[in-house]
Amino acid sequence: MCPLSLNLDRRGRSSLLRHGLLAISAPTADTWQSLYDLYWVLAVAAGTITIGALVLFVTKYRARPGSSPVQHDEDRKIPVRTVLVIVIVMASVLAGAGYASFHAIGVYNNPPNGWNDPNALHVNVTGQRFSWSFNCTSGCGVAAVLTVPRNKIVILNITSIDVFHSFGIPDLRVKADAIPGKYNLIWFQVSTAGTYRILCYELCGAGHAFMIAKLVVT
Amino acid sequence: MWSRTCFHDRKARGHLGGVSLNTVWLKRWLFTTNHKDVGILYLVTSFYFAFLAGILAFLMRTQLAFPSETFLQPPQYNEAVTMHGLIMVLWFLSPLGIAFANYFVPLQIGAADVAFARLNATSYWMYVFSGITAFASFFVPGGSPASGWTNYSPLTSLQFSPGSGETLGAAALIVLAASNTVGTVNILVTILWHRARGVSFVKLPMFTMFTFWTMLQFLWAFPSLIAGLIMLEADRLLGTSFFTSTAGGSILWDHVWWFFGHPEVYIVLLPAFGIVAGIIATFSGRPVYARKPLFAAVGIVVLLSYMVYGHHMFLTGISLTEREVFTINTEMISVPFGVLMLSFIGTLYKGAVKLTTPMLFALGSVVIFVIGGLSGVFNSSLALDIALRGTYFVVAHFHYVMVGASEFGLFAGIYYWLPKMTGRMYNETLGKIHFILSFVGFNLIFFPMFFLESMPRRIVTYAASTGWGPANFIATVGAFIFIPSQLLLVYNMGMTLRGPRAPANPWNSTDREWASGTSMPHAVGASSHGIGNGLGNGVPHSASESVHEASPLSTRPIILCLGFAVSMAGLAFGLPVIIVGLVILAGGVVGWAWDDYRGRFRLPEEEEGERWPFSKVPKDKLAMWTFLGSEAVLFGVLLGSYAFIRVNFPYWPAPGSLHDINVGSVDTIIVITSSLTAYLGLQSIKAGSKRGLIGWLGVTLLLGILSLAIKGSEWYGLVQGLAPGAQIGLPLSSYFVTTGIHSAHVLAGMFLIIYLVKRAATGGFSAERYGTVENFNLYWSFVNCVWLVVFPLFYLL
Repeated sequence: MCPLSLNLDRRGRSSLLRHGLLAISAPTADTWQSLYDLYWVLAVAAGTITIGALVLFVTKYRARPGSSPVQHDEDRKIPVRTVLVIVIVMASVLAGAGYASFHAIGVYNNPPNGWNDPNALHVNVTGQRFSWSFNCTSGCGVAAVLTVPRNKIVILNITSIDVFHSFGIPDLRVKADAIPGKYNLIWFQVSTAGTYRILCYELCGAGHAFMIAKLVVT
Repeated sequence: MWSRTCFHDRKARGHLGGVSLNTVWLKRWLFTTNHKDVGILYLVTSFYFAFLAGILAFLMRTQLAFPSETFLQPPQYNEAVTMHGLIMVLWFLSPLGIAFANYFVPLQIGAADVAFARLNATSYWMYVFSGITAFASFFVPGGSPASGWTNYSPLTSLQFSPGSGETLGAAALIVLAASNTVGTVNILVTILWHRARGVSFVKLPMFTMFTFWTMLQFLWAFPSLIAGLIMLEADRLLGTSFFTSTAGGSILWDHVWWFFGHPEVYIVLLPAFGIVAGIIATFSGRPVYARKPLFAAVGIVVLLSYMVYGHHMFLTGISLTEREVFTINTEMISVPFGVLMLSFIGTLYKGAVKLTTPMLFALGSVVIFVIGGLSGVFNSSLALDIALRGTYFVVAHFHYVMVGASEFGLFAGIYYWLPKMTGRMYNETLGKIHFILSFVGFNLIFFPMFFLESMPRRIVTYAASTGWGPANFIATVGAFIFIPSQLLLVYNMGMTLRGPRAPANPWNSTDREWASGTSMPHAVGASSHGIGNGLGNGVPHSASESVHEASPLSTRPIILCLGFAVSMAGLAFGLPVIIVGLVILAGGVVGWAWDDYRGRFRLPEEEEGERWPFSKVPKDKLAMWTFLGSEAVLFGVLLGSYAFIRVNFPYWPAPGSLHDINVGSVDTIIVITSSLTAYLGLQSIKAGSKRGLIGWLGVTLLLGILSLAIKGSEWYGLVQGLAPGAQIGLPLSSYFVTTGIHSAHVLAGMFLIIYLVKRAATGGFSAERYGTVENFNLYWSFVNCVWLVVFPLFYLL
């Protein structure tokens, strides 16, 4: 898939067609996707300039019979200005990208009504080799299936009882490490009903590939 | 452009006299201490390990070619993925860089050899035996380590990895880390102290300059690995709880591992870039563009590399501030790399570019690095990392940097220097075919992986419904092109030995390793006599216009390293193996000391060259300071782990409840006194008093014994209080490991004292020759200073 084939979703934000599915509307996924697209644009631009210059110089200054490299008097001097320009331009672009990232992490760190939102669905997620279990007051899940209503804000409190796992819902662009003794919070809200994969993203033993659960949005 | 007045490649230039005798040939390669020989050994050995790890990659790509394949079982796949990573990074890429450093740094700076010839052989043999140990883990019950090359805890704990493979793998890593530390001290001192006249620091050739910076990373990154592995082995063998408890656990391992692990990726990259910079300059016919900014940029990379590792921990739950700082640091490390790219590409400008095989690989390395580096910027973002962490996007990124940029750069170096190393030319056409197949194959493997940004790493298989099939299939096709095409390189290298004679300076390079021509394969130090006693002064094999000196042989390094590796492997195989290893090790060490004592291993004095800024510092002392720099990091990481645990552990016992403050205070006074007596010994010999030296050293030894005895009794009491079979709590885990490693240092110091006394008794020291005593004083004071930090932390706070 070409990352630059941007599509506009209902709210006019850019997002991608992924795996033949329609773009999912979730604040986390939308935020992430815009940021990802921005980084791709910057990376492709920077890559084109750099590799382009290299290819240009290699073809243009290819050694030919009789040609000899040009020796400048200023070869021994430090090209202060060029170096400064590179440093300043790169630092500014990267600072801009960093700023956009800080903005995006704000979405991840701030559920619309806070982490203690009484109207949200709070779920305790526990990783163990090699399955996920979900636990909440309203009976949201059985083993390997997490069922949540559409448009509901869902807050997950993720931990592990044995080894280091990493809990991820790739389509929603949310993920947090599941570590024994640690509790990591993530939130999401999906407006598109459907079934989404939940995977483990840290090698946890022989069953790592099969530590799969389902998120069902009704 | 270079001042060549005083530069000779002062290396032997004979022919391989006596090669017909197999034993001579064997003795030469087993006992050599010559930097060129050791370089060749490193190169060949690293290729052997790459071959093994390449087979593992082949197996993995075969397994992943199609959805739901069952070619490999999950445990096998996990072993393959783990060992592939460990071997490629630690036993192939960085040793290949070290191979070139061994061979070419002395040539580029006009040194006769590296600073410490026998230590050089020692680091090589530790490397070999550590690799054998690592591979042996495949054959122990339960198989090799299978927790990924990052060894994330607590998967590596005894509970989840009960087999002895994990123990053996960690032991192998400790031996390897020791090898790197020894090698690092050696090459750093070589660069700082052995430059010929005219080779000032800023005029260092590109490869040597990059190697210098890389060595600083080796020096400070690997102690963290050693500390982490010691804690891991203690957990597995002695029942401590560093990584099984929640107060230490996964997060502690992450910090310790990545403080080593992230600098390590620059360790494999920078030597390759040093080669690339030199090659681009040579084949453009231009001096390196922006040379001094480049020098500074690499230094900034080295500095920043210790401050970016947190980007591996974005999702572990570290604070937002930490994540933001690590994001900024990581994005900013791109800036010096931008200067590197500017320099490489700027060098091409208005040059006369010749696209030889080395140049193609060098340019390929730059192109691939640009892609790899830019994808790294994605991973530096604390927000983008949420989706990318643990996926094939990361796999693509680091293979672009490590395989693409590093390996291509190192391959460029092989082609570039083959004529120098063999005196003959490789086959250019074959080289170009190798480049094209590698470049195409490489990109076919890894570029599709950028679009597998939801596929988890290290999964043995996937369902067809995931849609990951096509990209994986393309990647496997790429692997089937890339991996076999590396045999072309091996074939080409082999055929070079019979190739046409190389001209003296085939590339018209201005770097000084070419100044001595290519007529000679390598220095020949072997001779048929004198090997049995650990000494063989080679006989000059042919006269040449340059100063000839033969490198002596020594049997000690290989014996010492064998003993060390066997004793470490004994961690997995039990006490008898440890004892056998220690006996062999003792044989090597005693033999070594004996050679010194009898003055049997002598290298010719070197004429004075450029030693700024250490012109007033003796060589051995500089080495000791360098070594202590790495030791400081070792103890720093141990004490940092203590601090981490202490902050996170809610039930820390009050001061005085676990350890008796009075006993600790007495011990501390003894320790301080022993520093004083050691110093008085040094002052005595400076004043010419041999008896004073021996006397004070004797007192120091007694104080050391006393101090160890006190610690022994404290340990004994604490061990008595432990419930049998139960895990040791965090406060005692930290205490045992920290004081244990400290005591091991004290013990080593006491052996040094015995050596010094023996030498002093036979008149080995005088008012003019007291360097070794002074170095011992440095070491002893350092170890005692560590105690002055340990004591208050464990006893008083």
